[in-house]
Amino acid sequence: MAEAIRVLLVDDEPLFLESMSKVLKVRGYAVGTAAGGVEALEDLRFNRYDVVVLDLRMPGLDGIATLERIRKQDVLLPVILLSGHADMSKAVEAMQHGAVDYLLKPAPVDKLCERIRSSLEHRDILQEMGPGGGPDR
Amino acid sequence: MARWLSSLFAGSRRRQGTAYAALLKRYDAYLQLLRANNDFLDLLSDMEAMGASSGLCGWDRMRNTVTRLNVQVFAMVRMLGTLSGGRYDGLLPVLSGLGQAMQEQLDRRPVQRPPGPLVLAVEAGEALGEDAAGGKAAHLMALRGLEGARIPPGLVVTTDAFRAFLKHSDLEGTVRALWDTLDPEELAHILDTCRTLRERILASTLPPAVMEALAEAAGPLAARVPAGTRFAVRSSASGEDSSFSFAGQYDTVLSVAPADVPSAVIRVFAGFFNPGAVMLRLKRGFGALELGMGALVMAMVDGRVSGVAYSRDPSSQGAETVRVEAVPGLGRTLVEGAVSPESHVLDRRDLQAPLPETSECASGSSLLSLSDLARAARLALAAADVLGTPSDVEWTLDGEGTLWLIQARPMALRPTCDGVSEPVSGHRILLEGGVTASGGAASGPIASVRGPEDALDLPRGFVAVAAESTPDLALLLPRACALVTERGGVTSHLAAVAREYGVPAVFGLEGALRSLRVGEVVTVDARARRIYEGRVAPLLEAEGPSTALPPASGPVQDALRVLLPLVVPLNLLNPASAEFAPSGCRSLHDVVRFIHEKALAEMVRLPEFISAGTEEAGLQVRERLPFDLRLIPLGSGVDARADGTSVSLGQVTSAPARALLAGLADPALWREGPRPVDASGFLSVVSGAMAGDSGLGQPGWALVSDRYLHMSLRMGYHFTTAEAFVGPRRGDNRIRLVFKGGAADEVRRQRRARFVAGVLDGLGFQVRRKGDFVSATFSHGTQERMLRELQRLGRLLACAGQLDMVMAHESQVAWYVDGFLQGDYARILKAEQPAGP
Repeated sequence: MAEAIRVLLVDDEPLFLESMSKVLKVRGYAVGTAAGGVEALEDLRFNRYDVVVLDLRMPGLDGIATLERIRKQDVLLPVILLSGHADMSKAVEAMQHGAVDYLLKPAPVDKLCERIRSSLEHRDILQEMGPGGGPDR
Repeated sequence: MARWLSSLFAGSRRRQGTAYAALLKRYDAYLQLLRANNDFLDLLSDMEAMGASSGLCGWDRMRNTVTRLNVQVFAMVRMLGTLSGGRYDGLLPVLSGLGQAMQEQLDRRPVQRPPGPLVLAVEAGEALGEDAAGGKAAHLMALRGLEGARIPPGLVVTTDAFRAFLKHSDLEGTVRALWDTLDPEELAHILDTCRTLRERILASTLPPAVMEALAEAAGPLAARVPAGTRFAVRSSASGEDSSFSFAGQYDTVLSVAPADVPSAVIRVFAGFFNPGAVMLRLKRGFGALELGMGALVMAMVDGRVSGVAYSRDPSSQGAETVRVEAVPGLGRTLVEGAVSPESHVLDRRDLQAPLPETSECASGSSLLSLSDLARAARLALAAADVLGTPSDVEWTLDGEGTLWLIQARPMALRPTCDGVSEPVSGHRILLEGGVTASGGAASGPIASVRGPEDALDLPRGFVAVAAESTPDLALLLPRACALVTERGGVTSHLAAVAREYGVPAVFGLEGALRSLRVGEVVTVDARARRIYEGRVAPLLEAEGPSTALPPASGPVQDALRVLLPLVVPLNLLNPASAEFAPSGCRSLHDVVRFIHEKALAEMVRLPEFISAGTEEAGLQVRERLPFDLRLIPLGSGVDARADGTSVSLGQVTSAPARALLAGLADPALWREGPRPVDASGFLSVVSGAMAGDSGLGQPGWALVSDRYLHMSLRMGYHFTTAEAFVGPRRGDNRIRLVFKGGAADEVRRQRRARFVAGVLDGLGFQVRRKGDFVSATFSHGTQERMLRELQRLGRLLACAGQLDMVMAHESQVAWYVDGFLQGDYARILKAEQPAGP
């Protein structure tokens, strides 16, 4: 069996993290969790993840700021925003910072999984381009 | 996949990295654009559905859909920018203008109503709206003073009390956090989460303020009822019984002693998280606490006969009839679908005698006198009159002959197609009978279900067959295409929810479990109450829109009236017109249409980014093909185990490339057999036809991924480009062919072009021809169909390459077209001449 895809779930609501991890684990993902942007960046420094699923509104480092810093650490790591706030300007800002997509809660699980899969395909192509390629910003 | 490619291209990419990266970057942008386009189309149909159902959805759903639509279009604009080198930046202001207009609407979210009373007597003061009292209580309050029936004395515990309760128990945050993890497709998770939430609620107590309000209202209530009266505590949720039928999905606690009312209220509150109700709210897109739960505490009446009356018969809505159903005692067994009731249909104009009809009366004797029957019927008509829409009422008749109104709600209607009652000929009827609980027709495999948990293991689109019509089966409805039960009538809660979901349903069909085989595909014609063997297409095609609920009004509807025109209409129709420009885009749909058109055009230009180096970096196809071909993989398209410089056809994983090459290499098409791999070029194969060609042995090349192919071939003097995208989604799929030139005189070249155009036309392509130039497209077929057409296209290219020297007469064109379409390739290969002059 292929190695499980590793997802880092970042959200400031512990119940959401716990319950959502369960859902994703049932779907066969290996899930790590972080309660905020700072914790997420720390985790990413030491552990390998295939994709990050990131809340937007969090105390401290919010979703956009976390996304920006993740980009500095790893240009290719796919980041999917999963927010409870349908805010178009934030959504556009996230996309400009290279988010794969901006999904809205309640979490559309099928769509999220499809996005995880397609973002890995996208990452592979970006990797293919090598340093000269890289994502558009 | 990517890593091996990196090593594969390590050498050449160091030299040609930029050119190769430019190709990949564009292809990747195209893939992302298609993805966003698909999401857009899905969301667009959601939006259209909201419009079609007069906006029967939650504010959250509408807001999320509109935001996601804008996100997808923004992603598409960016990707078109990458594809075109920023040529269409004019789209950004257009999109931002549209987005701003939409955001303004979304920001007008109605502020929450200021909290009102926590507890109120049903007959006291001013009637509360549905928001505060919940649907059931609000309707009863609206029907106070209705002639011919009394409403039992009672209290309304408002939705504000429910909110206060959640806050007091520290559950509001929990509810919101867990709600955010719910997906209607994740049934097991929904069941799990609902259990957790209900347990937490049941373990809590009512806040002091609510307890005080209850105590205060209890005094006057006690004065109005006989000593020892027991109470029914029923759910009264906002949204329940009005725009949406949550029939039977919430809880009722019967025979409650006054001291136990608070705990019964908590049980009713907990029912807000019954899985069937949660599923309905999720499906309709309501936020966690966008709707609320109230409770109706009502003195119980000692019912001799109880039942439901419909102001319009749900099983034949076209008719001017009222339906009354009755059971002995309390009405609960009736609406829970456990028994088949006695039922009567009356002409609504005189309400005199029941019409002769197929009564499911068990005993054969009526529970009701004709005048009581008429009273129940009149009650339904009067309620419909006040509520302004076809309604059903639950009633109870006590031993003294007093008629009590227990509850009233608007009916969910479903259009019926009258006049199709003859059985469809040529199809075997497996079972016939029962009652129409929800109209329509659907086809699928039979599944036998005992409870809602069975839905966990069932695929979508099955025909659920169950013994009883219990309300908890509502959880199956989003997955079932039709529902058949052995017991239960049209007045059961399950019937109301089936109509709400628009799922055709036949109830009370005796012997269904025994005689329908699990797994067998059947067609349920619910209106005619027939079950056919197999699929009966005429019935399925006759289906109209699924539900016809009363038109809704409210903030969601007001916002939709502004939002829909900014999203849905497609004004940009003709790519050739001057209007077809960013400035002509008046809706998101226009922007997407424009982007899609331009993206396709940009993809046609993809080869411009192939430089000599990139081309050399391609993998030679080691196959008996009539020409040299190099593949340039775009992240996929070639088996990872291929060596560094060449691939066999078996190692090509690009589905469109494999199909086209299989057609091109078909040995039946090559007069002298395809040339061996090591021969020098195309000329050796078609020596006869191509004599005189020289210097044309340059290799063809193809950009490939698993789903994509962009091939350029120079066969002889003619130049062919074939581009194809073939994936699981039909909307993505297309084949585009450009065919030009040839080594022959002008007339013969045109004849060959006419041959190519004629064949493509015969294959169902959209074809354009001008002189010896042919361009053709084939779009939106299934994956299988697309691949089949690509293989035929390969054969056509092989034949065309061998034809132009023999096109001596005009009459030959049609002759060869015919030959090809009939699969008579020998006619072309042998260069047979048509009979005649």
